[in-house]
Amino acid sequence: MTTLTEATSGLTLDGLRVLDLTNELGAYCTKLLADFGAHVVRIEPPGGEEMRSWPPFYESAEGPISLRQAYYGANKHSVTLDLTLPTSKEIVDRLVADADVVVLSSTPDELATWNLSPEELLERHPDVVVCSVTGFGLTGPYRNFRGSPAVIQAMGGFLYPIGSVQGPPPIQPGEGITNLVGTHAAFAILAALRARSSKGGQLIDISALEVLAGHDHALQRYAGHAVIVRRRDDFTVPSGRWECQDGAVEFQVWSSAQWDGFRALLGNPAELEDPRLSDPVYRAEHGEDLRPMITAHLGARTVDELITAAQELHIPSAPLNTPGGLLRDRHARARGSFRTTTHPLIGEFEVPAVPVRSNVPMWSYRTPAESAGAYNSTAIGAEQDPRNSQLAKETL
Amino acid sequence: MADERKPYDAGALAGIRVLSFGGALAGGECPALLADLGAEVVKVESVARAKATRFALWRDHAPVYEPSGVQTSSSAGVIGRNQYNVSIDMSSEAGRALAIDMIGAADVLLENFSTGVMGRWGLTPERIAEEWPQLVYLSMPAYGWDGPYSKFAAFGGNMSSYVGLTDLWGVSQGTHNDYLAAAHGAFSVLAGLEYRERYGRGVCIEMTQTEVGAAMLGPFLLDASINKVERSTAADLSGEAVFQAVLPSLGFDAWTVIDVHNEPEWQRLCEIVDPALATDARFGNRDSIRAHYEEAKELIGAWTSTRTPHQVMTILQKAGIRAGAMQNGENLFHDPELWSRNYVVEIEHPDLGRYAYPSTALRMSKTPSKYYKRSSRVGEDNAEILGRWLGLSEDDVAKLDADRAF
Repeated sequence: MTTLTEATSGLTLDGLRVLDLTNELGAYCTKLLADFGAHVVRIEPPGGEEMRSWPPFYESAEGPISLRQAYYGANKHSVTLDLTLPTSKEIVDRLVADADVVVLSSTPDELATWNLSPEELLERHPDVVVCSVTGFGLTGPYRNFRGSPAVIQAMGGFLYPIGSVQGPPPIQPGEGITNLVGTHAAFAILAALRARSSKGGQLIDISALEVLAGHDHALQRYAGHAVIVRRRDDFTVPSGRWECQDGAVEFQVWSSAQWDGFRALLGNPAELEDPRLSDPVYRAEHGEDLRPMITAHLGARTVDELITAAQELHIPSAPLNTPGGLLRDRHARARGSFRTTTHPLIGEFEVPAVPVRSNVPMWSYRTPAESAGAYNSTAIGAEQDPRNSQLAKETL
Repeated sequence: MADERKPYDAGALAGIRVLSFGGALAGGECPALLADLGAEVVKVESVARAKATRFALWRDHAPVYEPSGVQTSSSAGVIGRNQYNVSIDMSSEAGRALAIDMIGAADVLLENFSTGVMGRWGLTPERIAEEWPQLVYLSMPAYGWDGPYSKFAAFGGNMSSYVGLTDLWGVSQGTHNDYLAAAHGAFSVLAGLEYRERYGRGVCIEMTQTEVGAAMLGPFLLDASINKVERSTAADLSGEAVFQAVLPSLGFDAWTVIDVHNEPEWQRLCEIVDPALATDARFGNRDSIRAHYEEAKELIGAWTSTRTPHQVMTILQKAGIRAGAMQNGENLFHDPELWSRNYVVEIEHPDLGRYAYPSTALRMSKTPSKYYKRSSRVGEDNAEILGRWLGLSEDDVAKLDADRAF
């Protein structure tokens, strides 16, 4: 039985107090801070943050539990508060006064209606590091536009060149791109904490648009050379996905040396001897003819054998895993890339380790994601607990 | 913009010395993020190795050469921003000795070599921890220091495939893995410095790029672990959405993303597109909207098709509905939001000429970040840095040169 401990002593951010008022745009930022030992209190509306209603779910005895919440909410405490009520202002202000870091991810207009405008927060609490993580930043014409994982992928220029020319570009599933933004925020927060003894608190304004507009040099390539990077279908064979006997593999074959290696991988078949094929552009043009020839040589082989041989021939390549396949992958298992954790309603399960290994323990998985408002009585006192008010009872 | 060829002491990380053996994209962007905040970052390259560290990522312009003969590119102008450059030839004895001296003068050492390269120079993690106990050492391998795939050659797309993203997404794409690794690396370095501050000792960090990729798929890996599914269903992938789609819009290759999170937002969308939809029984609640997804897409798409992406975005965002234009490099260069925040900067470079670059996303009110120093040529800062870090004189530097340290 896995037991979790709340102790943070010895961890990197032990004792750091973080007030988390974010939505999905900031969830990974505060997850990183929490995993590294910070005491994170997340403020959610009565009934809980929207992410709690997002699939995939585990159907527990007490109803569905969002696995997004189970992942991003671990190590954090949950307080529910109706920010539209005047009494909430005082409570939040008291929590801010206790905090070293406040993280926000609502738009400036939303924050203003809750008396949470970052400038005012800093005026009242000059030593607090206030970090805003939004789609478009706190200033400029789009400041009140709302971001989301899908919207920022489009606006930041990330999606446009991806996928088939037939279009449309496919939205990347999961939170990788959102979390790239959150990681920038967590990085800037640690930098601001370093400068805090000399500068006091300050405002960090992270815009997903700005994080992504630097990605892959799309802006600079247009500015410098009027190049617009477009989607393409000439991803030259055999780069890409191939089915084999027990799964799928992916190769990246571009240079002529990689092509020679690939032919050797197939046992130098006569039909691939044509020297023109070492030109990736020529291969792209003849992809339809090449595919069946290559499939014939790959189909009966196993993922493990193919990838091992391909790597010996210096072909960039990998097993093409499903998420289930990654959980079983022999490399990930050998490295212990997953940790076993536990949740009172789910039981034991595996979770990806925080991707930072060190010769001293810097982070830990301590407590499972809490139900909405589980920390109310500790943080704000039972009498302030919105779950005890009539209004909240109706909402819940 | 004036080029200030001196340490940037207004940044939050002023005074932190970083020695970077990072190359290409992940190993280039990570130290650049630290430099953006004012750390004094020395990028180590060599004329011989420059091909690996600054290969022209894109072939947009005719080849440009530094006086040493090293080929450079406008991409190197982005990745090399705000950093100093010292050339060290690790194949010479004097070069390896110089690297050891530089590590001793640094707060942070980072690299993304293939697994085993550091060990060949005797720089094992054990030795690093023992010899420089105050050092924060960050290694960013693709698959990790150990395990059966530790020596695998990997492109970004391979890593996406390995962790399960390609299977879920349907495309093999991977440069975002480099940026994720860079940002996680930069965060880890500051976590390491914080650890040193608190507990009086440095740390050795192994930050594996494929493990970063796996952490990005957390909820789907939980789904596999808890619900024993091989992969999450399509509906679970777009999780939050009542209605999420990339819809055709007016213009050449023009698209808009609409991302409706709840039923009230759906009602507002219907009011704008066609009020009759608001009372249409097919779209009565979340489940039925999702069940009639293709029909909804067609109906909303007919409306978006007669408007430009920026029109659709503006109309819907003003109604509180999440929407975004599918922007390309041209759109980004003309983006009013970016210009209003002075995001684009022009930098003069002696080899590359005058270029517009993205500057910084790390907006900090008291310790501002910016593009304050153009990328250096290979070895351009040898004398300045070896003087400041190691107290070497011009004669010392000349002797190192004669000994082939550079």
